[in-house]
Amino acid sequence: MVFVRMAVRNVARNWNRTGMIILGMMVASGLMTLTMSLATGYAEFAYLPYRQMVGADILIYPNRFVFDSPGGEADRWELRRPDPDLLTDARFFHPELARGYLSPADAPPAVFDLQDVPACLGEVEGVADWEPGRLLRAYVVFEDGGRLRVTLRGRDIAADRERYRMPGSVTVGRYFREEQDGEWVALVNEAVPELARLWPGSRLVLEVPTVKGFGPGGGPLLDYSEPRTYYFLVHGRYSLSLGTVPLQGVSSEDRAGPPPRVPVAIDEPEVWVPAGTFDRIYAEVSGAPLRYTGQLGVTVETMVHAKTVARALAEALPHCSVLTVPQEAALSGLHYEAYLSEDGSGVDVVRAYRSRSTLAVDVKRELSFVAFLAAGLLVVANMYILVTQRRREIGVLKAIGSTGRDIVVLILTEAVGYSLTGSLIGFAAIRCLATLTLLGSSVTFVEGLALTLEAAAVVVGTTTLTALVFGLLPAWEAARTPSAALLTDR
Amino acid sequence: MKAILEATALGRRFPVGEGVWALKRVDLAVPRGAFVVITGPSGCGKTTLLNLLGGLDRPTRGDVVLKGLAYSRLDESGLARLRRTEIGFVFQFFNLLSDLTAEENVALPMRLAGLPPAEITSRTAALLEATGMSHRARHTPHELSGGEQQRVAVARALANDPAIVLADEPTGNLDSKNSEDIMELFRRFNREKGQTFVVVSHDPGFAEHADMVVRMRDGEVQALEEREGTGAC
Repeated sequence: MVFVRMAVRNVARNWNRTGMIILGMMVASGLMTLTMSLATGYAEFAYLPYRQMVGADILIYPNRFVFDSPGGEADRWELRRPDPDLLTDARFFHPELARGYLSPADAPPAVFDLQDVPACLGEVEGVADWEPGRLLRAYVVFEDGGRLRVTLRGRDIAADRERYRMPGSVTVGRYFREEQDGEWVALVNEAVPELARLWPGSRLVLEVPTVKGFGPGGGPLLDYSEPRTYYFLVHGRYSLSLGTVPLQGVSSEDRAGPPPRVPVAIDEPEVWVPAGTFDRIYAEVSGAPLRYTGQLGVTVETMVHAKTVARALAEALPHCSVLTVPQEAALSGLHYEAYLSEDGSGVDVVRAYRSRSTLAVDVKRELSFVAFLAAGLLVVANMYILVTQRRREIGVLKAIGSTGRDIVVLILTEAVGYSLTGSLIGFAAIRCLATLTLLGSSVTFVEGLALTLEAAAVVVGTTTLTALVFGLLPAWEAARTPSAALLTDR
Repeated sequence: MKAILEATALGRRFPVGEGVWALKRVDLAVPRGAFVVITGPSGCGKTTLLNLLGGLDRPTRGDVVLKGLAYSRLDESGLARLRRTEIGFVFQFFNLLSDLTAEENVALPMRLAGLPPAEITSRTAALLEATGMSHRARHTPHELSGGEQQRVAVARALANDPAIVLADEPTGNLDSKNSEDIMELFRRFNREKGQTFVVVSHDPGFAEHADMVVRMRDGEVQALEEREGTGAC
């Protein structure tokens, strides 16, 4: 107990040594926190608005599209055009597909027949669940007679709540309750000006074309002449925020400081209804239950392994395009730009696609491992410095009657004190940095720095354990060195 | 008078090159209550001998017996306990713990020995009073002069009322005034309390008042001078 008290006193009093070692521990734990958060948090949180929109982690389209010429194998490929009435999220991520795309000549039609969905979907390790894409063409009819073409999307309420963290900041009003599945309630996209006029509690009139059959490509044959009309209660509005973008077109003469930033959100004109409600509508407009769909949405157990799962699915489904949602968003080069409107009275936000994709580099567990190793070495170095700088002091302690065990207790108690303090401060510092960056930036992946208690426990635990293990070695070595040798150390 | 500390055929060889015998063969008996000074040229083995007498190092051959207890029969923990209760050390460079105050430095050996807190407090105060350091009790070593640090070191060495105090060049890093003060402190504790001292020193002031002077050369005792009436053997 004497040595525990002495260790605590040493940590509290010797500010030069404490400061330097804690700084080292802070850097180490900060490094661990950063990489661990990026490795897990990045995968979980990056592109979350897109995943919230499509309601899946991986999207599978029943045809393969390529953006570059396959070269020498061109004769085995053919140009295809997507069925304009077959809705998939590929249209959102890759609007250039409308101009046509290359596909293997022997590729199957561009729809899945749900009665014949590949059994392998549920067998691939890491797949938690899958569901058909519930997408239909529809029109919102306004009181003034105006109409807006929208996508009617059926939402899996349970998955949305558990997996995609809804409502959270997504819904302006309320999100669907599970008992509302099958009821006539809807959410509208607040980022679409026409839909933003619909307040929660107001009535939404929706016209849905009837499906007369399915074409040779599998797409629905829609009859726009006899639409069915549905009436919904606007339950709330949603907004899938993408952060902020700088306002362009403002000359530096007109302002001081950095350019102003404009908040942006996914502006796809959509109306969300519960999946059960969607299925009722689908059955009514087509005369049969949902059978054909342009995409499958796959939920993975953890996004960290989403790419691995996507690879396995791609191997099992050779004629399908299998992409994780982050890959989709990154490959599409999708981004938003904000301009001052021509008359200067407002701001125009436009969705833009870069001509060539800027593929985001996923932060891997491997990188995290290397960072952990580097951080561990920093802790080890700290512990060696802590002991080797104090060999003379240890010699004195032994001379006045301390045993080797006392010395080990002293050093290890100090190690725990330094590592706990340092790692907690380091963790908190990175957390603050992440929060500040998020507040002042629109960088989506920084959201990946959102940290959890689990991460804190791992970082603090790893730092402390490393300090203990690697403090023990020099402490033990010093403890068994004769005092006479320790006392001659300068 | 009966010897409190005895060294028999003591030798220490360091594994440098083919091996160097820093101490070849020393036989020494320190009587209880004696003031023994070990002197000799640099490198003659004085500090090595003192380290072996204090159990800070293990001999290559021979043995040391303190109050009938042979060091060779003690493991490291046993030796640590012996140093804690029966031996006090004073070093040339004071070797106070820099993070502790003067009184905490003095109290530390008593805490290690498990003395009750009240006794530690009273004994610490008494030792600081006896060494003239009461007014500096709350100061850390870097706030003290060399002489003051050595006084605190002496108080620490006497904390557990050891059987013997071993001092290695205790005035080697002090000016003449402080050296004289420390010498007087040693003499006073020896005279008044009957404390046994073994001091390694070049300082002739120590030798003047010693009961026994051990002159060393090349790792051996060259001459042993015993003063009359001291009872040293």
